[in-house]
Amino acid sequence: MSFIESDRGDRRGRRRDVYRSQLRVLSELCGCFFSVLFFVTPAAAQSAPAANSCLTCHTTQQDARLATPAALFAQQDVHRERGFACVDCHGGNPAATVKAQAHDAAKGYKGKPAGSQVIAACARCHSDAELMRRYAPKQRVDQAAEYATSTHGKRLASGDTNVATCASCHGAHGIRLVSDAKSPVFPTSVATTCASCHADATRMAGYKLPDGSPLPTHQLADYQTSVHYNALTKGNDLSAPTCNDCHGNHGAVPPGVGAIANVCGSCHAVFAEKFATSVHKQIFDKGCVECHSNHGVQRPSDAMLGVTGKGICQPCHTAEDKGDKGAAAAETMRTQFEQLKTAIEQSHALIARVKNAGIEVSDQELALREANTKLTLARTEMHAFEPALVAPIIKEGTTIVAGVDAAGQKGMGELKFRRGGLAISLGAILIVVVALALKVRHIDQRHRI
Amino acid sequence: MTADFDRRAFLDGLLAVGFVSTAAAMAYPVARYLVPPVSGEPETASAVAARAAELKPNSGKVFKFGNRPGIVVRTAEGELRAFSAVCTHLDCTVQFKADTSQLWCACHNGTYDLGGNVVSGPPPRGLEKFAVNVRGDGADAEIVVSRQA
Repeated sequence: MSFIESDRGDRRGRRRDVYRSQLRVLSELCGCFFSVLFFVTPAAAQSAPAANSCLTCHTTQQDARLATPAALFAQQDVHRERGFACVDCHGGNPAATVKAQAHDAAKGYKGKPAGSQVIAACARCHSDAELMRRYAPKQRVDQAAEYATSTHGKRLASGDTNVATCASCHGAHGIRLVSDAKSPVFPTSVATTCASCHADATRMAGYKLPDGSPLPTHQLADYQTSVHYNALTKGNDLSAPTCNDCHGNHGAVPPGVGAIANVCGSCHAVFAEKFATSVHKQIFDKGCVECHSNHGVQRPSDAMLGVTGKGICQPCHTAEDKGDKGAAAAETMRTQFEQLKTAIEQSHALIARVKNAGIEVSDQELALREANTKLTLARTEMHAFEPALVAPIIKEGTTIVAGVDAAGQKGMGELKFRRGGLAISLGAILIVVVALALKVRHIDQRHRI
Repeated sequence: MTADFDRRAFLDGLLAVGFVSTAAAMAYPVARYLVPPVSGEPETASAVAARAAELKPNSGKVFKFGNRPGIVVRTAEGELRAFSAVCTHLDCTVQFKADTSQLWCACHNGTYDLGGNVVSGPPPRGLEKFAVNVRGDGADAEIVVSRQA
């Protein structure tokens, strides 16, 4: 009995060992399979060999021009992180350990791409919709086509290798996603990236604007004084425009005559709409830029409207010319703005005094907000340069302020009444106290007698 | 005699100090009432925005939320949402646009979706969101809007 049981037990044990052994082999196979699936990316599987002698050799070079690209690529690089290797852009044989074999032209070695070769190298993947869908399905694939329409692209096609290519803005090694705050093309960095060439007077020498004047190099300095730069960098508003929002990025060109109002209007739609109906539409070649400048757009003020002081309607319009309808219209609208603005400020001060006295004024505060909205609407409407369109809005604002003023004056009356009542009651209390004191004194004197 | 005089003078002095202190304690509140200090007002935490019957599906109503405007919206699906109606661009009052089911600022054409997020135009950020609760039942139920903690 014990022998039989012992034999059965041995057989069960051997069977268990076999099962365990089979499971171990199976799990190792699965492990290998999933390792291959998850850690070997498609690009690596397609093109990159097991060893990358490019990095091994280049990172040990004394010449920084040879070592730095390899070091940057070995750190944070969006392409390396997705399995791409040096060979994907530069060609050659990364398995070779001898330079001559690694740089073998027969193996497709291209070396350092320059000029149009850079565009071709990037476009090989970035213009391939099927390939890009596997890595960044939302990314556009027309950058190279857009670039060909840009001033950079056209000049490159004409043989000017001084112009920007993909690597000039995105970098060649250590490339980061556009959404990476450290990327040179992240919104807060675009202006300085563009300025690395466009603020360089030596590099820009000889280039001209479409009108034939020399290409300026003060765009960055101007932009850094602008309301847009302020919103982007100090207001943390990443939607505020930088160079590429107006000029385009890959298809960068200066907005042409007639296109500026459309460009500005892509954000400032109402202004563009009003301006399109104005008499200035046909006259202003540069649209919005005529009054607001381009790179150095300042916060607009009412003082800009007019033909005196800081008014920018001069010198086209002058105060001396009494028959100048434009000057008269500007002065009329400016006066209306100032009147409403002053009325709102005075009303604010009145309501603040009443509120501070403990009287409820939230309705009036709300009404003053509405009056401010009317003032802003009137300023917007002004871009049609037609006083008759501005006047009704100003009138609505003035009516609101008048109502608030009346309530404010009523509040001040109430305050005076309360203070008067307090003075009377205090006076009465004082009289009673004095009278009581006199009475006590009188009674004391009677008792002494 | 001298001791009596000293005691009387001491009591008179004590009474005088007491009288002046009492007078000052009474006068100070009166003076502060007549010339009040500049003080802030606590923010409104909650307001009744509308009655249920006032808001049809795909409509909105601007209401008074303290001294600032708020806007309550009933979406086409019947959901209630409320936001500050102060445009984040230049403080104009936004309104509901039924044709696009969006919140719209007439001043500079800023538009927000019904989550308060900027859709287009110059506003730098979305509208402040408020919590919405319905108090009561039927058409007279109150739509109560509160500032979110």
